Amino acid sequence: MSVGKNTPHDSSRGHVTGTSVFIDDRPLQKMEVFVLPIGVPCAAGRLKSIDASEALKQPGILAAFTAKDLPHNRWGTIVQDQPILVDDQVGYYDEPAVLLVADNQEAFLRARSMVKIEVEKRPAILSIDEAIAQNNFIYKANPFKCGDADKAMAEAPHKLAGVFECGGQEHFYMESQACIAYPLEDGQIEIHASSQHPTETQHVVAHALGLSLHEVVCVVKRMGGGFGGKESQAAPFAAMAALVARKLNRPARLCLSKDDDMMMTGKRHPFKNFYEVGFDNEGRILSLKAKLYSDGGAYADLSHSILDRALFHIDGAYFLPNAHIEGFACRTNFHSNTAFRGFGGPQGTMTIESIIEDIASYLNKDNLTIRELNCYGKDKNNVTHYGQKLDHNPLPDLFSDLRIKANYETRRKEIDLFNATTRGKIRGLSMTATKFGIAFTARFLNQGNALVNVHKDGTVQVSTGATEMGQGVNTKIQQIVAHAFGIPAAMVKVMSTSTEKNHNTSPTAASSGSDINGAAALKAADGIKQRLCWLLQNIVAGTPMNDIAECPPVNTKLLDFTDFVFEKETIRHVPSGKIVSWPELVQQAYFNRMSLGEYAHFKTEGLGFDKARSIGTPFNYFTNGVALSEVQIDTWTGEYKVLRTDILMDLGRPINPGIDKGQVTGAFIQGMGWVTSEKLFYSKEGRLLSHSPTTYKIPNVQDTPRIFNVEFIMNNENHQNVHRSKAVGEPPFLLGISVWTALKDALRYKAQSRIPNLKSPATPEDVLMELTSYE
Amino acid sequence: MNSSEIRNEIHVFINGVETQVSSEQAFLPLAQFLRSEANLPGTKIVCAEGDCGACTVLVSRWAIDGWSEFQTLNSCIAPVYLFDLCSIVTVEGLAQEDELNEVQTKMREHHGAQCGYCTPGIVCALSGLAESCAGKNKVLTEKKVRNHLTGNLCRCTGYEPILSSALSIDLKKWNSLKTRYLSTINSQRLEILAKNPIEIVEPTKAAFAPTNLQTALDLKTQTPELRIVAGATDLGVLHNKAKFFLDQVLILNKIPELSKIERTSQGLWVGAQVSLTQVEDFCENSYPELSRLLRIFASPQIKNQGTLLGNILNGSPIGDSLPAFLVLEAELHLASVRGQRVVPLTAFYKGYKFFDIQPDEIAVGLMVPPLKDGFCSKFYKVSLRKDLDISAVTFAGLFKIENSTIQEARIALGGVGPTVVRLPDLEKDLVGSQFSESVFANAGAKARSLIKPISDLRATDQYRLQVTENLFRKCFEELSQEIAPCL
Repeated sequence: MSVGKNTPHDSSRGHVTGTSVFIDDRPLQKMEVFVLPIGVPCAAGRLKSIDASEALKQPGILAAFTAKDLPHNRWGTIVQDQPILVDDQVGYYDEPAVLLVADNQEAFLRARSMVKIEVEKRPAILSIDEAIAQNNFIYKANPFKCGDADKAMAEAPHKLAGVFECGGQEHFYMESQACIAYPLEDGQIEIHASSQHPTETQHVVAHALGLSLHEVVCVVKRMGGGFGGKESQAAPFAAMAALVARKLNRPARLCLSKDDDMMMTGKRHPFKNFYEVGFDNEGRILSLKAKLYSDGGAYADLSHSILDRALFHIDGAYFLPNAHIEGFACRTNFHSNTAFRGFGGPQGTMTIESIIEDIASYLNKDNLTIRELNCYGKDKNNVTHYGQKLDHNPLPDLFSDLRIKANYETRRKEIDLFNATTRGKIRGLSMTATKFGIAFTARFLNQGNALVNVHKDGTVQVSTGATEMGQGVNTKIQQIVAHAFGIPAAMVKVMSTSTEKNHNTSPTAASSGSDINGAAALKAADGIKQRLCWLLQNIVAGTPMNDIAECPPVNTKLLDFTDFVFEKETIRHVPSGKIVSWPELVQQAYFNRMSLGEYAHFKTEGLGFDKARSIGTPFNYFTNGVALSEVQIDTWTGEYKVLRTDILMDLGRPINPGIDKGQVTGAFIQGMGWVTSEKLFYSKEGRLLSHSPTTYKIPNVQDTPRIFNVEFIMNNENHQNVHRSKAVGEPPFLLGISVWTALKDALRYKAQSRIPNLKSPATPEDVLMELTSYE
Repeated sequence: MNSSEIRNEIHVFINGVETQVSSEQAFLPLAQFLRSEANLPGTKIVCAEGDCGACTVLVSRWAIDGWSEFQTLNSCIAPVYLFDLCSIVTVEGLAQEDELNEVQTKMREHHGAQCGYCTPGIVCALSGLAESCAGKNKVLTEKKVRNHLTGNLCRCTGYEPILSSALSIDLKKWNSLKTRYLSTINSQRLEILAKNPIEIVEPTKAAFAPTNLQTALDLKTQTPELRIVAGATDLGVLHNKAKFFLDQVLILNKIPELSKIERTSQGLWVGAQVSLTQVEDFCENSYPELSRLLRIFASPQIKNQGTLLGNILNGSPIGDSLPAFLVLEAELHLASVRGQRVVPLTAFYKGYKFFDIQPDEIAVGLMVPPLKDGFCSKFYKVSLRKDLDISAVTFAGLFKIENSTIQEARIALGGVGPTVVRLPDLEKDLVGSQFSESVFANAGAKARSLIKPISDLRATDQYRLQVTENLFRKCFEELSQEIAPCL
C-alpha cells in the first residue's frame, strides 16, 4: 500500500544525477533568443524616455521592446493595477521598463549599461510610517471584533501597549524567475514557465497580447523552489517573453539573474503592528486591540488576502475573549510584495508571540507558563476571534507533551544557572506554536481538477493543476493514485502541469496542493475503479463478453464498492474470491470499450465566511505544532547560535512522512532565517542593495540547531481531508519564530526590570545594541 | 606537439572525455561552458558569484608530481582558461550507467533533495568529501560534513535531510573517482602538454599562461594592463556582474615555483598560486589560530580556488585574512624585470584599494616571519552570518605576556576604515601595562576613538564601534582563560 509510505520524491533520481530538466536546461532551439528586462533608475516619478539605440549597435543585440509594444499593459491577481513594463508612473526602483533581446547571453553584459532610461523623479514613500502619514493604502480590511475589547481593556488589571515590527523576506528560490515562450502556428503561444500558477500565467499572457485564453497554453514541469514567489509574479515575465516571441516569431527565453530577480520581484510583506493588550495577574489575556499595517509595495498583487490572513492569525495558539483587530495594507514605492510561505500568518502570529514574551517579562513569570495559560482549550475557550470552533484541538497536549519530551524544567534551571555564572554568553529558551488555517480564504480557489489515464499495460499517467516546486505534491498524488489502484508507485507518473489538460486551476499555494489535487486525483481514480469493479462483477457473474456481446453499461445500484479489493497489482472480488491481475482487467476493459480515463473536479466543502462581519468558517481545518528553541548569545558581539530545537507537530496521517518531515525542517529553517539573518537593505532612494547571497543571508548549514528533533503526534481525526492527512507546507514556517522569542528570553536575563525591545529580523547588531542599552 | 611550442587551446578532461577549448569559448565561465557548450546542464548557475554552491564541480589538477585530490570549486566564476590539464567531474559524471553512487543513493533515500536545484552542487560537494575520506580511510563526521557544505545553500530542506543523507554514507561502498577518471590518462603526454605555454588571442580578448616567471615578467612589462588571474574568485564575480571584464589576462598557474608553500629559515613562505585551503591545512598545527580563522573565512569551494595572495592583493578593507597577516608582520615579495623588492604588509595598504605596487610588478609570494615563544594571538571575524559571510569587523591581536605584564602587543582591525589598520599608538600604550580587564577595556575605548568606520549594508558605524570596543574585552576574557602561550 502506497499511502503512508516514505517513498522517495518522484524526481529524486533526476535531481541527484542532474538530469531533471528546469526551464533554462531546456535545449536551445534554433533561432531562440534571450530576453533581458531592464529596470528604471528611481523609486517614484514618471518615465520620460528610453533610448536603446547604442545598445542596439552592439554585436548580438537584436531588438528592444517597451510598453508601447504591448496591446494591454496591466495585470494583477486581485486588482489589475500593475504594468508589465513601466509606461508612465514609476512604482518602484528597478521596475522593468524595457526588454533587450539578444542571440547570446554574453551580449547583455556589455550592452545593458548602454540603455538610457530618463525619468522625472518624485519623492518616494519608503516606509509604512510615511504611507500612514499620507493615508496611502491599497486596502483596508473589515475589522475583526469579538466580545467587548474596550470594556475588557478598561477593566484589565494590567495593560501593555507597544509596536511589533517585522521585516520582509526574499524568497530566494534557487531557480530565479524563468520562462520560455514558443510561438506556435495560428498565432498561438506555448509558455513553459517556472510558475506556481499556470492558469494565471496563461491569463496574463493572453491578456497582454490581446489573445483569447484558448490561444495560450502554459506548461509547468517543475520549479527550482517557489515559496509563494512564483504564485502571481511568474506571470508578468511570461508576458514579456511571449511579447518577444510574438514580435520576432522566434522562441524567447527569459531567465532572470539572481540580482535582477531580487531587485525586480516582490517579497514577504513587512508589517508594523500597534497593539494594546490587557491581562490579569496570572498573565491571562483579557483583551487585545491591534492595528496591523503591512507594506504592500507599489501595487496590490495579493496584499488583500495576505493582510486578511494576518488578521486571522493574530491569535496564534491563544484564546482571545475580547479582541478588536484592524488591518491596513500600505502602498509604498517598493517592489510589489507578494505571497510567501505563511502568507501573512507569520506576521500575525509573531505579534502575539512577542506580546506573550512581554507579558512574561512584565509579570516576571516563565514564558511557557503564560502560553499554556492562554492556549486554546479542548472543550472551552476553543472558538477563534472570527467564530470558528477548533475541533479536536491538540494544542494543549502539544504544549504539555513537548514540555516533558524536551526537559523544559531542567533546562530552564540550567539556563538560569548558566546565565548567572558565565561571562560573555547568555542563553534563552522559548516555546512557540503554530495553528495554521487550511484553505484559501478566497473560497472560489478551493477547487481543483484531475485527469487520470490508465494505459493498456496498466501504467498510469496523472495530470492535475498542482505544480511541483520540491514540496513533493507529485509524489503524494502518485502515492494516492497508486494506492487507489493497488499498484506500485513506480507504475504511476505524475505529468507536467498544463492548462491544456487541467483548466481554471488554482495556484499551488495555501499549503493546499496535495489536499485539493490529491482529492481530485482520488476522485478520478475512483471513477475508473468503479468501471473496473463493474467489469469484474460481470466476469464473476459469467456475463457473456465476446465478439458479439460486451460488458453492459455500469449500473451503480447493482455495485457495492466494498466487495472489491485493489492490492498487489490485482483486483479481488471478495464475495467470490475471484482474483484478476491489474493489467489483465485493464485489457479486458479496453476490449469491452470501457473508458480507462477519468476527469474529476473537487471542491472543499463546508467553507463560508461573512466578510462584512468577519465571522464564519474560513478554514477546512488547522495544522498545529509547537517548537522549543534554545539560543546562546555572545554578549561581546551580539552573534548567536541555536543550540537546540525540538518540534512536535500534528500532521494528521501523513501521506509521506519523509516528505512531510522535510517540509517541517525546511520551513522551520526558512522561518528562522526570516527572524534572524535575512535582512533586506535599501538605499535612501529605495533601491534594494542586498540583492545577492553575498549580502542577503539565508541560513546555511552551519546555522541550523546543533540538536534538531522533529516528531509528529498520532492524529486520526482529520476526516475532512484526503486520507486524513493534513497540509504541511506553510504551518511549520511559523515555528521559526521560537528562535526569535528565545533571543528575547535571553535578553530578559540582562534587561533587569526592562522589557526587551527587539525587531525582526534580530541581527547580531540589533541584539548587541539592545544589550548595550542596558549598561 | 613539443614542449616549447605555444598552445592556443586548453586541454581539459570533462567526465573523462578529453576536450580542447579554444578561442572565445576559453573565456566563458566554466559553468556556462559546461551548460551551453558541453551539453551538461546538470550544473546550475544561481548567484553567479560563488556564494551558493549550486555550480559546484569536482576538479583534479595535474602537475609534474601527479594529479591532485579532487576538490570542489564554484564553476560559475572561474573562466575555462584556468583549467588546463584539469580533470573535471560534474554531477552527470557521478553515477555509473544506471547505478547511482553512494552519495546519490543516500540523498534519494533520505529526501536530501526537494526542488532539486541546489542538489547537483550538494551531491558534488558530498562526493568530494566521500572521495577524500575514503581515500584516506577517515570517517565522515557531522562536523566534517557541515564544514564541507558551508558553501552550498539550500532553501528547501533546512539541511537536516542532507546531513542525515551524508551521515548514512557507507564509505566501503564508495567507488573511487580517482581510479575511474584519472588512472586511464596517459601522463607522458601530460608532461609534454604541461611544458607548453598557452596563448589564446582573440580580437578583443587575450589570455597568456607562461611556464616561467621571466616570461610572465616580460609580458607584464610589455602590457602592464594585463590582469593577473589566480582563482578568479573576486575578478570572476566582477566579470559576471559587468563591473570589470576579464578580457586581457595573465595566468600564473603553469609556473611551478609559484605554487610552493614551505617553512624556511625566515618563516612561512606562501607562493602566489597557493590556495587558501593549502594555507589552512599547512597551518593546522603550527598556527592553529590562523588555521581557525581560515576555517570560517569562506566556503571550501572558494578556498580551494582562491589564493592567499589574491586576498592580500585584493586589499579590501574587510579582507578577512589581512589583520592577521598585519600583526604577524608578513612581507610581500614583488618581482619585475627591474628586480625583486620586499614590502612589509604594514606599509602596503596606502588607501582604499591603493597599494604599494607598480603596474609592471608581480607579487610572487608572502613571507610570514616565525613567532618567537611566548606569544599568544586572537583573531576574530564578526559578521551577520557566522560562516560564508563578509565580515563587518575583523580583529587580530598578538601579545606577549610575562608575569602578568604585556611585553609586546600588535593589534590590527578590518572593516573600520578605508584600509585595514594597525594601531601603533594603542600598542605602545599597552606595552608595559598589566594584563588586566581594565587595561583591555580602556584599550577598547581608545580604539573606538581611533577609528572612523562607515555605515553600510553589513553594519552601522555604531555597531562597528561597539564591537571593536567589545572585542578587546572578549580578547582579554579568552586570553585570561588560556594564559599559557598559545603559539
